[in-house]
Amino acid sequence: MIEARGLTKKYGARVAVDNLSFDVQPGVVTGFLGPNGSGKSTTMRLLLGLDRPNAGVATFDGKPYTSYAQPLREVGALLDAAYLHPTRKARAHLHAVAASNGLSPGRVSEVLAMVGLTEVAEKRTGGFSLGMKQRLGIAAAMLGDPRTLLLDEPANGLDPEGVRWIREFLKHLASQGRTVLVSSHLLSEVALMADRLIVIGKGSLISSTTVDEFVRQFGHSWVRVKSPSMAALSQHLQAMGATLQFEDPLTAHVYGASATDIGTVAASNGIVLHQLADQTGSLEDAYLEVTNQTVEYRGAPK
Amino acid sequence: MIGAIRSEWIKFRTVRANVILIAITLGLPLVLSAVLALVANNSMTDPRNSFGVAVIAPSMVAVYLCGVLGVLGIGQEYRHNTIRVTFAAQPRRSRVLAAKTVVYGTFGLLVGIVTPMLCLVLSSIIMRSRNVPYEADGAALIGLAVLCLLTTLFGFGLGSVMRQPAGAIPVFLLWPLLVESIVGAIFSAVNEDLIRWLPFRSGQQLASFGEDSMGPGVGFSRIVSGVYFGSWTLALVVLGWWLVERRDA
Repeated sequence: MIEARGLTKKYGARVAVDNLSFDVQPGVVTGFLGPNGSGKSTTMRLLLGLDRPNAGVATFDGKPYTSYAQPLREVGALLDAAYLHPTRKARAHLHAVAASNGLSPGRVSEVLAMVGLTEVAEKRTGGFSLGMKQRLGIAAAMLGDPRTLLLDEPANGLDPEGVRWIREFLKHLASQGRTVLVSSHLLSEVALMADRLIVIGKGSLISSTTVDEFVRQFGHSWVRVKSPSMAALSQHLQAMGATLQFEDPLTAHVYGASATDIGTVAASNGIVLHQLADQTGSLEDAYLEVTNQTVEYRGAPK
Repeated sequence: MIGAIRSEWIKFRTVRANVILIAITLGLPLVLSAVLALVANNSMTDPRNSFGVAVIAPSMVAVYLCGVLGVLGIGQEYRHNTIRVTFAAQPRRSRVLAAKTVVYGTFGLLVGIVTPMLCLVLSSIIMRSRNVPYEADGAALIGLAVLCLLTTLFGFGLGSVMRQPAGAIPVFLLWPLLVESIVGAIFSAVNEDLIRWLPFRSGQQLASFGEDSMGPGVGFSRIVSGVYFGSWTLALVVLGWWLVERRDA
């Protein structure tokens, strides 16, 4: 379990992480979301003791990361796939990392096979694609068979097969009771792999909850109604305060009324319904809604 | 600690730039030594000068290249951000720095011992065959080994302070080769005794042979020179250590 309490990091006058507290539970995949520049990567570096916090503390299973003599056996991390020396071979990179924690060369071969890089183990990493570097970074994170994994954008650069692989891999690790924290910009991927979310904006916590609860809380929900008497039904619904958005003359999205209310109104007025379905917005809708005020870098409107 | 040293040793020998530099460090002095032994003037009056020209002078190339390796020992880690991988794997930074100090220091010391010995063997064969008077200076050989160790660690300390090798390597090379030459010339004009306080000029006294290279009575003794240059090295290493501990990775 990861516990962050009051993490604060300032670069000069700029506050990158602002009194951030959260828990990451074992046994589930937790997505770590936030707009560009919101402090996700800084937070990850703070968790690992790479950046020195101005205030606050982070612990892994009750102990600060820096107190572990051989931390790779407890926590595996992929911060950036590009953190490689381009003229060092993949196996040598892993050997060096493994040796620092007393891990055997045999384990290096195991993790290379795990991520599918055995064939290129003797190649210099400068010639690797981003996807191959990601796999190498994941291999390094898995060297110590850790109970906790921290991965920053692990699906970046992976092909569709690789994206599916990392999704299934992380879900499998979580199912073994490990703690898995994953940041990603691919919201559709997060929706598929994560059970819980930590969402931050401008360095502060916006939400820490389950994916379902997050979408329910911040996403729009509506009822899709299809009726041959839509004109009559719409008058009744507007009279009870609902708003309607028409897909076509016979189909509407109804906001501000539940499916039960709509069904009751239709029945009491003898209106036939061909469809009455609750609709929930996507994780992307909810995320954009909740982070709208905290986006620092935004493209010009079209 | 053993794991950290093993890790640094693997890193040291698995980067292409290091491998090339190591090959040059070990090979170039031998080539220079052979060439200098072949062209050495057999009318040299002091046989220690023949030794100096064919052994100490070529070995100084290895000394400076070891310093460059020292800079790269930590500079490359910052250059490619692998320092974050290193410190994530071993968050007790002092342990990493101690391991680097051991690996690079040992390499520097070994080069400082092996290179002049090989140059000595090679050049002595050539010069004796040419009847050039030749006399090895044991104190200079020991001094050179110490100088090589200290220069390697000096480079490592400078790399720790400056982090980026693109800046640290020019500073490391220009300091003794340009800055101290210019400042030394100025000092010579003003007050010759000041030259002894230039760290690299003083450090070179460790491997001095024959006549005092700074001029009679100008430089410190061999041991005091070593202590003085060692103090500069220690100060840089300690400053670099403190900064690395304190800064974000």
